[in-house]
Amino acid sequence: MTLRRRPRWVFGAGVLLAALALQILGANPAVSQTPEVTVWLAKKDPGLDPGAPVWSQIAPLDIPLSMQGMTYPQGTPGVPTLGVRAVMHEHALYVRVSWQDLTRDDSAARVDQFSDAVALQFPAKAASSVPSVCMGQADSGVNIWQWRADSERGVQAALADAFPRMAIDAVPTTVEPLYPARAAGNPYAVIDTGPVQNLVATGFGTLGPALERAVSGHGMYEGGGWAVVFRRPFDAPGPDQPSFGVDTRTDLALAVWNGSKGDRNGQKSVSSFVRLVFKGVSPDAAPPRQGTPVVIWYLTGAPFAAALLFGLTLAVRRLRARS
Amino acid sequence: MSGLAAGRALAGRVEAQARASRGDLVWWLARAAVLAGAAELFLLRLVTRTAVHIPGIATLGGPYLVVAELGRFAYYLAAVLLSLTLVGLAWVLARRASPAALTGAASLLLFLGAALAARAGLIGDALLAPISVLAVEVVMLAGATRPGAARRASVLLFGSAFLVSSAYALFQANATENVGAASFAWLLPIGEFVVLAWCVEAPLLLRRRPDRASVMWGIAVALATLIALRTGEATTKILLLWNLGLAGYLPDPAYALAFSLLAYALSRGARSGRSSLATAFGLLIVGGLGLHSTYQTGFVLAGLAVLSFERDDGPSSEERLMRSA
Repeated sequence: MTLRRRPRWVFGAGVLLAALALQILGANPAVSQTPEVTVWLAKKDPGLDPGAPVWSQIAPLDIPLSMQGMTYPQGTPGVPTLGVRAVMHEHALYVRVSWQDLTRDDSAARVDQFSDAVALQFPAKAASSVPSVCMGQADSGVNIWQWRADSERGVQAALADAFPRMAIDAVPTTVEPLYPARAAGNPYAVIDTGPVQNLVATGFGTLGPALERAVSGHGMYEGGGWAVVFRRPFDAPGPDQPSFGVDTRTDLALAVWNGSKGDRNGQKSVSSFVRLVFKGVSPDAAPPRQGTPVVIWYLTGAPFAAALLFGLTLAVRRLRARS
Repeated sequence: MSGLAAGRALAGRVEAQARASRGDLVWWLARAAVLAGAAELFLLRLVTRTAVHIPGIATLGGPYLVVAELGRFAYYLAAVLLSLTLVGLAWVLARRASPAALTGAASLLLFLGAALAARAGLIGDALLAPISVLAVEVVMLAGATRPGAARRASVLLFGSAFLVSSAYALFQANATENVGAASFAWLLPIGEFVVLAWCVEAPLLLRRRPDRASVMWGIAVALATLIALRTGEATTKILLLWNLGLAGYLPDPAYALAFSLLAYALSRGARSGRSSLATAFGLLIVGGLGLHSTYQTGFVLAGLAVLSFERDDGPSSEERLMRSA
């Protein structure tokens, strides 16, 4: 007995209707299983210091990067992974990002110099699907926080180092017509606004500065790598910027620029989206663990042990049969 | 007595036919899930994700939205078909007498239950991820007890590659208080190497002589892979990562060789009456490598179950499998 023609059609129509209903309702039956970054609750304000004690209590999520390859100039496979930690304190999000980079590129004073940098990208609004990781899309924008090593160091200091014999006779620094880029609000021309830019985008070629400067940050070069801390209050400072809250989750993608490899603009290493889960629990409250729980090792090691045992048993049986 | 025996024989035939009909439905569901999943992979994961980066795509808003909606529909359809396939496979395997089939059935149901519970918010990823890995592991081990060295190798290779890639996410997600935690990124190229070995091994599952059309398919896929990797390496590798979970750690010829042999096995399987084998490959390709979502993990589980328990005995292999239930 095979399914008769009519029941098969009815069954097929039922499947199609179920799929259509899920699509109309936007009820995604699957859940994501990508790695997640836990936002722990910090009892003390960690500030913008990457060496604050709370960071050493939390293990970083090691996120692999690949070169940006959707558009030219494409990235270089210079930075393989990035470590991310996150905490919250008094309705503010702190994210610490660290990566290995043997060259400290914190000056872009010369035309052949490019700065190290790192950026975090959030979907502008919470939705069932994430926007395109490359600057979002028209109906689903992104908010980007970019930290630059040259801005951290300061443009004037970098210029003085690059051109030690440089002399300026007398240039008025307050007369705006002499600085049209600054007058036009170009974020690269406005000095002393901090090392972090708050940017928004709704698709390719739409990246621009947000009106609000709600994101602060500080980076430190130590031990052959950078560690950068970003901070922003939970409440969205403006349109196309996400709000955060305890017991909520959002998505986060990252990008890193290695200046000595010529990285700038689209030439960078990027990650896919990972989840950022605001747990609101102190890392002290987490069950004490030393490394990965043993059960996980068993879980992943058991099949290999079983396969090895299986192969050995098979080999012994064959040897016995031959003898 | 002879009348009684004839009655019993008739009853047995009717029961066997009934089982075969349910089995037919499961195989129909599995094939439909592969087709819907492949449509989703092509339209949603490949076309729309790439097209969204084309400058001026806004001028093609209408057609683009149509393609995107079709891709989303394919996704929801594949999800419904996959859920039914998992239930059907579990039912078919549960009817078999072997402990391996029974544990395989239990694993499929365990995963399905966990995925539904996670969707409902009853359990978190801390529980869902180990359950997913455990389910894959059990189905893999159940498959490793099945006859046929090539089948055992195939199941173990894909299962191991998936577990190694998943371990990367699993270790990290569970190392919340691991000060100075070691990096687990080294697991990813190992998983990728093993899955390419699985592709290379795939033709060994087919003992029949190669046919010209399948060989041509294999050669065409090898050339297409090489050209794509040599002319647009970065774009191709990003698409491989997004769509199949492959980051592109290995040399280009390794991917060309592996994909060509897998394409050959797919074509040969479909042409030589081993459509269940082609279905298994299709399910595994749509599922991809590593933990991404319960949707993709479900495809991997269904693919491993079909690969483990399909039979290589001719055109009616599905029916035979069902009748053996």
